[in-house]
Amino acid sequence: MNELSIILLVEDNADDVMLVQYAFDKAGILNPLEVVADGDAAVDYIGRTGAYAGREGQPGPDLILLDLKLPRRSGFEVLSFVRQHGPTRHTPVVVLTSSDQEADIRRSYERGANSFLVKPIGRDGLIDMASALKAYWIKLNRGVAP
Amino acid sequence: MTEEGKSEPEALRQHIVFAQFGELALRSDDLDEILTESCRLVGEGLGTDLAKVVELQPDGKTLLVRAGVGWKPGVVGVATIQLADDTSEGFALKTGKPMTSSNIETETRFRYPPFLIENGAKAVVNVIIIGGKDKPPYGLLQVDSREPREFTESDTAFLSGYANLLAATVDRFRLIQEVRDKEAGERHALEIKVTERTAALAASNAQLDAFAYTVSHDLRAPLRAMEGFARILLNDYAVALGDKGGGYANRIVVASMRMEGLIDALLGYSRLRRQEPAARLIEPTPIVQRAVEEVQASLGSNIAIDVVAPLPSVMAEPIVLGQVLTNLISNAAKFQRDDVPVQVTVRAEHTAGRVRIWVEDNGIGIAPEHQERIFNVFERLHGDETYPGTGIGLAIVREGMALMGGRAGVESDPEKGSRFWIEFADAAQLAKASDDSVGSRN
Repeated sequence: MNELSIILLVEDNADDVMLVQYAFDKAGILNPLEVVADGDAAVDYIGRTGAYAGREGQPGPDLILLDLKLPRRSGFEVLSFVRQHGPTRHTPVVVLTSSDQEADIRRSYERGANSFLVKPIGRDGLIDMASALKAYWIKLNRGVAP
Repeated sequence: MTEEGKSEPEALRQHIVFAQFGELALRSDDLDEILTESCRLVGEGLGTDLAKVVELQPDGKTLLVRAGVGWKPGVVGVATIQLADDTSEGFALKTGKPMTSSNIETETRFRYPPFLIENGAKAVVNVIIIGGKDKPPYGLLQVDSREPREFTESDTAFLSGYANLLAATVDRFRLIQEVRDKEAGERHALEIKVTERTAALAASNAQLDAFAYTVSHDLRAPLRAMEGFARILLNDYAVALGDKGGGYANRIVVASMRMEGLIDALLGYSRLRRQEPAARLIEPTPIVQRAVEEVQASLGSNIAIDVVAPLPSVMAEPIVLGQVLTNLISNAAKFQRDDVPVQVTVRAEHTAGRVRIWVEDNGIGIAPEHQERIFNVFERLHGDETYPGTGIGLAIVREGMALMGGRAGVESDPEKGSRFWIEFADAAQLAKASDDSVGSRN
C-alpha cells in the first residue's frame, strides 16, 4: 500500500474515532481514513452493497482497523466476511479493541486477523501506535496488489 | 436312635446335610454358590443328583430356575415355569404344603414343563421356600429323581426343614441387597446433586466471565476518551488553558489513570476468585526472589529486601503464590516512615507442622483496630496523596491463600512496623482431605 491507499476504520465510539484521527494526524499519516460505525455498515462498505452500492469499481481499503464490540454485527462476523469476500481476502486486518481477553485474541486470529492491538490509553500511547502502524503497514509491509 | 420310617444311615446322612448346609450358609457371601451347593447337598440327602431352586419373579406368575445341579446347559438361569393351578409348583406355592409326584409319566393331576422331561426327571417333590416377614414366597426347592420313586413323609419333613433353613439364608441376602440398593439410590441422588452444583458453578463462572469482559471493555472506553482528550488539551492547548486550566486537565488525567488501576486490580481479583488452583508441594524461594525483583522494578529504587533463603517447601500454586507475595512485599515496601530507611525481610518458620512465611517491615505499622479490615476489598487506611493504592492487594493475599487451603494475617506495632504472615496447608492433611472427598463420592 502507499500514501494514497484507503484505510477503513470500523469503530462505533465517536471519541475513539476522533482520537484515532488525531493520532493519525500527529503521526503524519496522510492516507484517506474512511469510518463506518457498525458491523452492517462495514459489510456494506466492503461488499459494495446497501448504502455503498454505487461504488463498484472504486478502490477498496488496503488496511482495515477493526473494533470487536460493534452494534448490529460483531467484529468477528465482519472479519469472517472480509476473509470470504474475494477482493478483501488478503487485505490486512488489524484488530483494534479495548479487550485483552485471551478468548478474543484467539478468535481473532482463528478468523484471519493479521494483528491484534489493545487500544492504548493516553495521547502519547495513541501517537506511538499510529506511528508504528504507519511504519509497518503503510511503509514496510507488502500486500497483494488489488 | 432311629427315626420313624428312616434307616439309620439315611437319617445320619440327612443330619450331615443339615450340618454342612449350616456351615456353608455362615461361610459364603455368594447367594448363587449357596443355592447351588444346597441343591447338591439336598440331592445327597435324598439319594439323587437332580435338584433345583426356582425363584418366584416379581410378576408373581413366573418361576425362574435360579440354581440347580444335574441339569443340561440351558436350564439353570434360563428355564422358566409359568404358574397355573394345574402345575405342582402352583399348588405348592398356594398351599405351602410339599407336593410330590412319584411318576411324572403317569401323573394326571399336573402337567410338567418340557425341560423336566427332556432332562430325564421321572419323579419330583416341591417344597416352598418362604419369604421374609410380610413378603411373598421366595420360590421352591425341587428335588427330582431320574427314576420313579415314592417320597416318604420323612423325606418331605426333611425337605421342609431344609427349605426353611434356606429361606432364612435367602432372606438375609435379600435384606443385605435392600440396604445396598438404598445406599446406591442415596449415592445416585448425591451424584445428581453434585452434578447440579457443578453446573450452577459453571453458569456463575460464565456470568463472571461476561462481567469481567464488560468491565474490561465498556468501563475502559470512556476512560480512554477522558484521558486521551485531557492529554491532548495539555499538549496542544497549553497556552490557551493557562496554568489553572492545565492543572484541572491534569487532574482529569490523574483521576483516569487511577480508575484504570482500579479496573485492572478488580479484574485481577475477579480472575483469582474464579480459579481453583491445585496446590502442590513447591519450592517458594525462586517465586519470592521474582516477586522481590518485580517490586524493586516497580518502585524504581533499590530498597533493602532480605530473603532468608532457602525457604522450606510449601503447598501452593506458583502463579497465585506469586501474586500473593508480590502484593505483600510491595505493601511492606510502600508504607514506610519518612525518617527511617526501608528494611523488608522475608523469612519462614514451622508452626505446628505448617509452614509460615513472614514478610516484615519497619514501616508505619497498623493500629490493632484496623488489622482485620485491611484484608477486605477496597479497604484503605490512607489517602491517595500519602500512600497511593487500589485497596485490593491484601484482599488478593487473603483470597489467594484461602484458595490454596492456607490463610493470612498480620501482627503489627505502630511503633516498629508490621509483620504479615501467610500460612500454608499441611501437605499430609491436604492429601487426606482430598482422599475424604473422593471417598464421599464413591
